[in-house]
Amino acid sequence: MNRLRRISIKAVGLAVALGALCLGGLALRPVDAAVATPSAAQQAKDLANVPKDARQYYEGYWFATDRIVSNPLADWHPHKPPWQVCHNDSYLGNSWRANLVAELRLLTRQLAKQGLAKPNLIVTNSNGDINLELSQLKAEVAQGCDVIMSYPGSATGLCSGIHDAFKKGVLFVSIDSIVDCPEAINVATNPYWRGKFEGEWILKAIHDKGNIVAMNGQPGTSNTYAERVGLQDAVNAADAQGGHAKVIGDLYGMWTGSVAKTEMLKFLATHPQPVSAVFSTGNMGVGVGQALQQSGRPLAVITEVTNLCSYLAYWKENNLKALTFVQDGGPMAYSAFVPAMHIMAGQKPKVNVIFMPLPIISAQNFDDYYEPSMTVQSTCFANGKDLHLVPDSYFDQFFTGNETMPKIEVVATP
Amino acid sequence: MHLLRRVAGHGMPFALAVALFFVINLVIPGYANLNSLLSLLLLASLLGLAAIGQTLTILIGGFDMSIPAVIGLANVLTALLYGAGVPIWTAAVVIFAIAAVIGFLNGFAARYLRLNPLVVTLAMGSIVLGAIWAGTHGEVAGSVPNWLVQTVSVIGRTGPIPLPGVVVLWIVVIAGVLLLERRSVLGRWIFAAGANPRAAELAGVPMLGVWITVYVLSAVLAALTGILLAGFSGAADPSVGAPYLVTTVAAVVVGGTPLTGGRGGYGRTVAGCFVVTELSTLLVGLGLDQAGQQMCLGFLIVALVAIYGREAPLSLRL
Repeated sequence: MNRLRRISIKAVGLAVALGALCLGGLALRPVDAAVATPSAAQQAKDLANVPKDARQYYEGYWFATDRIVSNPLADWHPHKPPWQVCHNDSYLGNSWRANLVAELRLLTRQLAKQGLAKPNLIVTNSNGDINLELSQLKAEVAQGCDVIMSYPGSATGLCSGIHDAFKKGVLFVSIDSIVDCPEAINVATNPYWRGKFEGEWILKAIHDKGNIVAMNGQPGTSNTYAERVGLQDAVNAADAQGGHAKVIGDLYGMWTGSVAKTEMLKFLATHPQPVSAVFSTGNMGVGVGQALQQSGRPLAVITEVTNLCSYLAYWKENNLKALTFVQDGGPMAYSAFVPAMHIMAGQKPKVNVIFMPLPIISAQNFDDYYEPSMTVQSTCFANGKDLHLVPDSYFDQFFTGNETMPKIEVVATP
Repeated sequence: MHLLRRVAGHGMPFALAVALFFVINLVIPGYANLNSLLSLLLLASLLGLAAIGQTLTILIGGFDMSIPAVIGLANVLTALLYGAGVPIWTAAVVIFAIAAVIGFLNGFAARYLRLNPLVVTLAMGSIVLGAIWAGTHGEVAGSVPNWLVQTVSVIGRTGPIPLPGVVVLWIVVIAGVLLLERRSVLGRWIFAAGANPRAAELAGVPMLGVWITVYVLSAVLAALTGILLAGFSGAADPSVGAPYLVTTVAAVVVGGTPLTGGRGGYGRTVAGCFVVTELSTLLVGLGLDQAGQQMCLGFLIVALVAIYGREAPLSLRL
């Protein structure tokens, strides 16, 4: 009897505590986390050196970086060629990153043929361990790298290594992931801009009314947060104009199809209301669509961030109302390599963060990217014929000086 | 009174699973429909298949932390081999054979070399994931047969049975595992090995054989989960098994199998699978974000362990 009583007391305690925790958890919403908006004066100061034509891509920049530094390499000079090109990566376990490295290898060979670089690209991979990545970065500096391209695993974890590199005349360029280290040059797309762009497109597609589900990436990452805030700002703006759209769910698919599908199935099982659109943020669109179909729901408007062939095949099969950005790892690496070559040629960057737009795939240009050989199992990226994410000339506005740049060209990765 | 005690002690996970289902129905209007129920069954069955190995290894006093990696390996190999034109059944045999080798090494290292099973299986998981990356260089291509996709689809059917194939498979496997636990010599050896290893050895239980068999079973069933997950997502992903590290342990613990081994069983884990899946569904339904869900699941594990997981190992109570 005593045992029964003890179990009952514990069970009641469990229920009360669980309830309290869950109520506490309910109060935590993804867009509630505080990122202070800089004052107008601070924003003007931060953006002072950003070229006027590019400023539209810097909206909400503070979600992606602490500050934008003007003339970051004013007193810095590159080494003379032939350069040793290196790549410092935090993870090489997916085809996006594999394409990124393959492109860097091909670009290095192009430089080597011109006598501007050693033919081999030195690559390190820390497999998610930021301390290891930092030591690998320091080793790369010590072994004579002149240019270090990087997909960093942390916004601040590499700063001491980047500072060492800077002091030794080694250029550090971060690809598609911003580091808050003043001596680093960052080339990326603005996640807030992406989220807002997708949000505005969704709202237009659903005529400013309906329920939106946000299939976010990974909780706690600045990219995920910035994209989600961008969506929310788009929804709020439409709401202020008399719209009736709302975000009814925030799920986290970890950029993995099966996780996204699992979370979406759970969501649909517990939310009988109609879903008008899904804001998906990378590699999750197919899982989301399959969950809707298998739950007996009509397919919603679905936006994506990556141009996976599988997503285009699913789009074609189901005649989706959809949109996605073009951003394969290879072309993204090339986009970061162009500014790196500006700097190695002797030109000076105006700012340390170079935001760029991305091409869009929509119903209007779908056939330019889709090929009949694509299936929902395809792991390739639909890059279309032109592999440039932006014209090379887009980057000219970010530099001062007229030094001649090495000739490089984006190449399709195997 | 004895029956009441049994219900309170052993029936709690089952009662919790049923209670949670009613709570979801109360809290979320419109939950009680066929699609929601099928979603619950499908998600619980995938977890249930992955958790068999965890249950059996915990019963013998071990752990299997390599389950997520083996799931990832099987997932990638399924798509790669089938995509390269290998018949799916041949691919499955190859995958199960590789998984069996991994399980053999886990069991051998943990028992014969007396290495801590937690460390051994974590290391094995790291080796397996590293091998996937080394072998594929991140380029995971391939395809899966359409029937496999239908097997793991909420709206899939198994012949005349209106249930997805994976749910029917799970029901069959549950029966098989329960028979193994309760009606076979191996089952009795598993419980004896976990309850008191020294006594079991003196009683003639082939401890090395039991450990190796259990770890081989664990790896093969993790591989089966990986193959099914290839159908679930329609594509391969080495990290597809990651969510199953915590959830398989949670299902075992929530089901009431103590981590000290020798007691409990897969029947309880089945209840644990439903509780874990229902709880996460409820939390999603309540609008909790990932952080809130993790907090609640973690708290549930601690609370349930506090309720029925604090008893001393059987060997100390005999």
